[in-house]
Amino acid sequence: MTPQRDISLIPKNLGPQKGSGVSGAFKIVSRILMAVFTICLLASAGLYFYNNSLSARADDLHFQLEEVNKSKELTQDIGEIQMMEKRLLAIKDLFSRHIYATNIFDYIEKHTHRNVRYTSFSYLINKDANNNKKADISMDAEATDVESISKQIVAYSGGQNKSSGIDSQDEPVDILQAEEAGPGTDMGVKDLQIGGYTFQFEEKKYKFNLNFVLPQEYLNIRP
Amino acid sequence: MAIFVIKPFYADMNNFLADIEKTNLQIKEKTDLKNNIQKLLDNVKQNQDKIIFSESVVPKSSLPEELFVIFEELAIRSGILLGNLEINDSAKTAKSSRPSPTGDKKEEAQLFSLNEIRIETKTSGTYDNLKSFLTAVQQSRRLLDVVGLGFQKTQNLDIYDFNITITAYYSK
Repeated sequence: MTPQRDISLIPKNLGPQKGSGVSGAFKIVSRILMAVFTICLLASAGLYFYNNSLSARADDLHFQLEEVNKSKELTQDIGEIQMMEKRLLAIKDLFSRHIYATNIFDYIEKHTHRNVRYTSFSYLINKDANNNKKADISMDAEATDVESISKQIVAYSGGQNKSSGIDSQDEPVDILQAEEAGPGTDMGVKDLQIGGYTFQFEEKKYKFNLNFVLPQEYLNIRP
Repeated sequence: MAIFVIKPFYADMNNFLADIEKTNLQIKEKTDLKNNIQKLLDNVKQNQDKIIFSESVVPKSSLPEELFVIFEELAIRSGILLGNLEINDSAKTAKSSRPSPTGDKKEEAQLFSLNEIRIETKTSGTYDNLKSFLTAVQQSRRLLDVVGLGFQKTQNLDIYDFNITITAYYSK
């Protein structure tokens, strides 16, 4: 029997090798896929445990927040402070509008002519259109002569200076200065009304009545 | 596949992180608020004397009996003769806080309001007595506003009868 001859012309080292070709490529791809799958699996597992810890932390924080919100102390404190603030603001407002009644008498004393006497007096605190307090003053008065009445009118009208006709002998005791009356005041009263003139022969006195308004600026000055 | 496996976990993680951040912020806000309130309360404690003073200026109830005592003292101090004293607690509200925005009646009841008491008094004395009395009223520890006053000349030239109307305040 004659031995078989190798008649292939392809060199032996270039022929099909074991483990190469389609099956080799498949193996490489499958290894890569395995690696990716493993990484995904590990990442998923990692994320799963991380999420669990985050979930636990979130629950813990929610619990803490609920505890803070539940605390009645907080809302009670806020309520108390709000009440206190409102109270102090209201008192501050009351003080700013506090009426110093003696200012009315000081004003009248300083503006009354020496020949004029008052026989009745009344005042009432009301509010003007701007919600400011004002004193509505009403007085019955008597004077020895007509000239004194006219000078009295001038004094209340804000023209109470020496050039307005009041001489040094019988001018009002002391005229309130603008600085004393406060800034922005016009020195005069408002809504001055004079009427009810009568002359009493027996007493030789002129009687009349005066109505005027003292604005808030005069009432709020602290003496 | 990787996307399908990891994406839900990743989305959950983002949600948890956002939730934690939000809750942390809320806790921080509440804690800051609480700290600020604590500072305010400390401040209030430090100014306790002013608060006590404010409660004597405008007490938390009408306290008519206190007014009787005050007017008796003021009359003695000024030398005026107190003839009649009428205290009318009509609970007229001088100023009240705005109504509750939630409309909660209980909350509204707790809101602050300032009420007036009207005091009518008939006194007699000299003009100087009257001025002393008015000065004393102005300086009274309890805030009093003389809102009306009237008098007439009488037979006795030096003695007048005064009708005085005064407003006192209290809070609720």
